[in-house]
Amino acid sequence: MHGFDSFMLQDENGEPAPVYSIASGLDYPSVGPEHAYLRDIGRVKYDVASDLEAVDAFFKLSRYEGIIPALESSHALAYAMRYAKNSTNGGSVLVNLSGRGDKDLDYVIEKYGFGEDFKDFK
Amino acid sequence: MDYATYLKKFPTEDGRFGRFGGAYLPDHLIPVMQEITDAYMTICHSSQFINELRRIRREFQGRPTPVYHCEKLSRNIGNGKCQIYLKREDLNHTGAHKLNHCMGEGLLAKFLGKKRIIAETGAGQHGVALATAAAYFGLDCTIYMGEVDIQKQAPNVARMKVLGTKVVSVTRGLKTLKEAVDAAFEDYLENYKDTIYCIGSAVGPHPFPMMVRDFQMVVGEEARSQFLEMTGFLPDVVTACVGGGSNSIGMFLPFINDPVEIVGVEPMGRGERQGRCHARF
Repeated sequence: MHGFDSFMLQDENGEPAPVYSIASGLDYPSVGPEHAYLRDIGRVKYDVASDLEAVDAFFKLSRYEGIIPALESSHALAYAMRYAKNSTNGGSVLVNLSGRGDKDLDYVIEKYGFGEDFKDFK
Repeated sequence: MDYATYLKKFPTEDGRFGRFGGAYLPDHLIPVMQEITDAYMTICHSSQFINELRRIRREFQGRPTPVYHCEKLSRNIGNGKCQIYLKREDLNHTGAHKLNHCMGEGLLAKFLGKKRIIAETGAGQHGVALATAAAYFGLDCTIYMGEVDIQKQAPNVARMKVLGTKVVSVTRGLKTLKEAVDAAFEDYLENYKDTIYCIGSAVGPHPFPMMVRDFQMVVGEEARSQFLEMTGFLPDVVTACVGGGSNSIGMFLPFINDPVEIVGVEPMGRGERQGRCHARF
């Protein structure tokens, strides 16, 4: 698709499959060829975060640190938070906070309010 | 393999990363893309281009962006021992990493004497970044965007228009990013003589994935040295979200030869069924 070889989500006819994510910037059925290669050689590991995990990360970073992250970046932050939660002996995670979340505010508020369901804050 | 050797080796001359990449193009575009590849390979090593891009990053984009330690967030997760740090690309001008490759692509268009830049956009961040680059360099700009995304991202559509860019609504198929890419590519097929297609991520035919990667690596290069300076060691894990993969490839590569676990995070959506979940790997 789009002139290069990579991994692609396909439907039963081999066409690019419909994709869905809460983050428009991640709505693409294929991935850059270098990622496909780095996965192939085992240098980079790929994991997932759900819409709800991303929204939870979105509200936690906003409340704890005063930074409203983009929903796209919230997926990476959600992974970091999961890693930190499971870590027993410390360590450190560096997250690329790729963008700010101002553009996502209307959408998040409409669907999730002001984070009332995500309030396990201490 | 060290970082410099890796970059020399990948992509290969025909744009391949192992069995991935390459360029599958209509016949009349093959020489056009070759011309862009050749020009880029010369220009990107010229001190004039490098110095101008450095100046733009410093004076216009506000780079370097900081690395920030989330002390309070870290303290409140699990046993509170694991420390989370952020590379603040949200503080890059226009609010996302996208401007890194857009300013590079815009500067390349200037060096090549092109008059117009075009692209697709999903969330609108790439569109806003390219519209910004177009205004900065005095180039015409057209952005293709799915009708669904236009509705979801009204403020970014307004920004592009204020910056003087033409926003075209794409109404076919699912009316999102994939269809917008198709529409932008069709425009490029017709108008390649005076136009450069500035793809929004590290995807598409060679040389686009390489160019976007090269322009985004400033993120990981800065982050690596900032983190080292701040803590005296390297992080255990480096992570970034992966859609097409531009912010993540730029973040990851400078750590490729380090004892660091690198993790790309993909959206699982609502986690329901095929088409609702695009964990491609």
